[in-house]
Amino acid sequence: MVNILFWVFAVIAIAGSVLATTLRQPVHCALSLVTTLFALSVMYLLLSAEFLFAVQIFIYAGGIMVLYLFVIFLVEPLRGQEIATEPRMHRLVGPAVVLVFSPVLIYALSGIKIAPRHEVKAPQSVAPIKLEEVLQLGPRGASDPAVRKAIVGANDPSFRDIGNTKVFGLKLFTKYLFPFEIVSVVLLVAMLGAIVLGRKRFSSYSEEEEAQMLAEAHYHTSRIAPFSGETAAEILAELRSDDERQHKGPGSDFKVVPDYEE
Amino acid sequence: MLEVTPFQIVILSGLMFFIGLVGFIRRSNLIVMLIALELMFNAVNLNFVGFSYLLDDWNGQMFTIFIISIAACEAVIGLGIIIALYRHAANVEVDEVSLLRW
Repeated sequence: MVNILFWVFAVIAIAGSVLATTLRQPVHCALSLVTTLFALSVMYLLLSAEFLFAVQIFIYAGGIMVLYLFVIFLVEPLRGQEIATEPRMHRLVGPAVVLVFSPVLIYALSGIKIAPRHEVKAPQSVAPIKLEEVLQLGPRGASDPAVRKAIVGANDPSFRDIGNTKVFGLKLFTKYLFPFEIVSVVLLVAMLGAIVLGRKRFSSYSEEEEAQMLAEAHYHTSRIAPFSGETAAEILAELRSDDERQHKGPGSDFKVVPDYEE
Repeated sequence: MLEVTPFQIVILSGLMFFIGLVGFIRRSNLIVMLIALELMFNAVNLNFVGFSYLLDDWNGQMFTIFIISIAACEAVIGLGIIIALYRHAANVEVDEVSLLRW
C-alpha cells in the first residue's frame, strides 16, 4: 500500500516536472512546479522525513512559489513570447541523445549496492528518556511507533513527543548548529540584496537634486569650455527623455556640434 | 514500511534533475529557467532524503533543509535581478537581452 502510494506520487512528480519545463505560459509552469513540490513532500513523508514534508509545503510551495507567481504577474505580459527558431532537425538532437545514452546510464546505475539498515536502532533504556539515547536514533527510528513504545510506555505523556521533528530539532541545534548560523547570515545577505535590487533609483539623491548637481557641474566647467547654458529644469527634462533613447537604439541622439565660433 | 531500492531513488531523482537541466538549457524565458533550476534543487533533495531513509542517517535530511534555505535565498536574488532587468529592458527573454551595453 505504501509502495503504491510512493509510486503514484512519483509519477505525479515526474509529470509535473515535465509540464513545468514544457508549457508555454510561465504561470502554468509555476503551477506545475507547485504540483511537483506537493507530490515530492508526500514522498518525503513516506520516506520518514516528516519535518521536511511540512517544511517543503510551508517554505517551498507556500513561500518560494508564491514569490515566483508575484514576479510573473509583475513582469510578464499574459501571452507567451517564445518562438522556437531552430530547424526541426536540430530540436530533435537533444531527445535523440537522451534516448541513446539513457540505457547506458541506467545500466551503470543499476549496480549500486548499499547496506540498507533495515533494523531500526531501538535504545536500551526504558522511561524516563535519556537525551543521548534519543539522539542516537536514526530518522527511521525516530518515526517508528514501535521504537517509541520501547523507549517510553504507550501511556506516558511524552510518547507523542519523540518523533522525527523532535530529534531533527535536537540534532539541528547541537550537531548542526554551525551550518544553521551560517544559513541565517546567508538569509540576511539575500534580504539585503533583494532590497538593493528592487530599488527604483540607484542613487540616494532624487531626480531634482541630481539635475541641480548636474547644472552646477555644467556651470563650473563652462569656465573652461563653452556650453549651452542649460538650467536645472532643462537637464531634468533631458534626463527624463533618456528613457526613450534606449528604444530608438544607440546613437539616436548624436548631434554634430562645431567646436569653433561661427 | 516503504520498500525502495537505491536504484529507484537514483533513477527518480536523476530523471527529475535531467528534466530540469534540459528545461534550463532549452527555454529562453528567465522565469521558466529559474523554475527549472528549482526543479534541479528538488531532485537533489529527493536524492538526499531517499538515501537518508535507506541508510538511516540524519545527514541527508539535514543537508536537505540547508538546501531548501539556500535555494530560497537564490530564488529571491534571481527574481530581484529579473525585476531590475525588466525595468531596464522591458523584456525577460535571454535571446533578446543578449547585448550587455543596451
